[in-house]
Amino acid sequence: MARERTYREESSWPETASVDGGNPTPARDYRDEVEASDEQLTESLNSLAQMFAPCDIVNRGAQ
Amino acid sequence: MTELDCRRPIRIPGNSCCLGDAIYSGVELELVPIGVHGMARHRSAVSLLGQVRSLLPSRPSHPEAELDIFSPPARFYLEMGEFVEVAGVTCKSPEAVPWLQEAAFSVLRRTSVTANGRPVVLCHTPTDYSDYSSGGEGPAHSAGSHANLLCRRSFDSDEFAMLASVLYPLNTVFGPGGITWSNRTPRFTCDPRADHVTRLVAGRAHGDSPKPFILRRDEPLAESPFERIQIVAFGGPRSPVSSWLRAELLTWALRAVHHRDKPPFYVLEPLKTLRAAPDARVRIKRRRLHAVTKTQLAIETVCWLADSARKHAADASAVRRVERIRELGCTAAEASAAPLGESPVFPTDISIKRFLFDRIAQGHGFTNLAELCRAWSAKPADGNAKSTMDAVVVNDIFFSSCDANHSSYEHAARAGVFLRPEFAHAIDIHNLARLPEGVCRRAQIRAAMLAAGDIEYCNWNSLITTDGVSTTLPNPWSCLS
Repeated sequence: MARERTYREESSWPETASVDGGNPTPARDYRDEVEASDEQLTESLNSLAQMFAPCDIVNRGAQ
Repeated sequence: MTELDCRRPIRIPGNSCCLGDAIYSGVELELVPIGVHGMARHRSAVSLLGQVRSLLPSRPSHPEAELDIFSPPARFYLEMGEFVEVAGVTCKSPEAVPWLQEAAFSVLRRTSVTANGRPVVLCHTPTDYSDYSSGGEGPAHSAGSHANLLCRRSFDSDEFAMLASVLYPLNTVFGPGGITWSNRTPRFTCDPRADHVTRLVAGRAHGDSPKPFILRRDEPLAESPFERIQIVAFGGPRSPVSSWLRAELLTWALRAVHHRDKPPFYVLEPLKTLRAAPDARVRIKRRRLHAVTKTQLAIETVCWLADSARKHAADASAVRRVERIRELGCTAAEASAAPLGESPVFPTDISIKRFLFDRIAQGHGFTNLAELCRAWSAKPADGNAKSTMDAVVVNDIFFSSCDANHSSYEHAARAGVFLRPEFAHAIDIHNLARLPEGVCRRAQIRAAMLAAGDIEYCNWNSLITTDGVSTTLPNPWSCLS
């Protein structure tokens, strides 16, 4: 027969819980983040549209 | 007006926030295998789940449930025989909710199935082809994104109405955005699912059944007097910022109702408000009737919720969290209604999609999406208007794809359309058992035991260890009573 035990959730918040209030994040030059050109974006969006069609998207039965 | 600052990455904190009574929450997200139908869709979903099982520490819920997998960040399972559903583990603090979704996506991104020579791609699809082809008059088949909230007590109908009343305008803050059709007139909307919602409360939302705003779940996951409800009126946003705002604002709203805080206004036309565009006027009642834009109402609601939440803040850092969410929520609402400018845009689903859809329309010779919508409405079968709208619809659906190579969200990020938000608690695909602090303790315990290989079977409320010990993991509220 299986032994049993019950785990209990903490009854209160730990006093040491620290909270991040959202300290300001330093600004970055967003251009450093860019990996693809404007043209490549257009190409990627077109490529998705060529690979799939709206009739591929059917959710019958979904919640 | 808040000045939009899109050049600072938004940092999603890793620490939990103490706002008095914890509101336990989580999100279930339904993902549809796109590009396959019928048995092929079933086989694809089964294959994807099999790959998930081998990619991370996981165990099934019982010996005969191989497609019902519990892992540290989420339960992955087969839904309706053909969808992959991801249910994030329970959180005691909302900033953990977007982390769990991103962690689950990082796993699904490593799966792959092909059919008929092309990839099968998992997407969350707030709208579908029957909507498009019928001009909004077809059956309501939006994929679900259910926000689970554990209530300390049952609500009466007035309290459910109050909860919903606070939330009606907020899809302009955190909605997934998208294209919707009514009377064969396409338009950009805060959330296509809003057109499918027709009642306040119900017990089911499958198939053709009318979609409610709130689902009441009568089940052992929350034994009486506790109750688990699901807010099902909203589609699932892809952006972690939108997802974070949704989780915070929903828990603030629930806490306000728990404490019987009443907003100083009442929404007179719920469904019209839910479905309204950001700049549409909606009617509210204060001492007398007022007409305001949905954006104004959303900002007023965010500020009122923040005032309500602040009363429960345990310390100064919790007050700072409330202020941060107030600022982000108001900025997101303003960004949803702002005239489109240059990139980068505010990193919410609505802002990014508006930018992308205008870009697609312009690439096909239209001034913007609005002109494309007018042209399609006048001549739906017209070659250029039809093919352009097809491209918009496909990119709308693939925005929320798990597959980075087939996701318009990911394409936009790489091209600098927006600056990716950062998680303070980094996501490490090789160590997903190290969960953020905001995940509730029973899920932390389960994660550690899964990683150690100590579990034979598990579900939300219990587990059986490899040495035959049965352990109960009751829902958090019942432990606090």
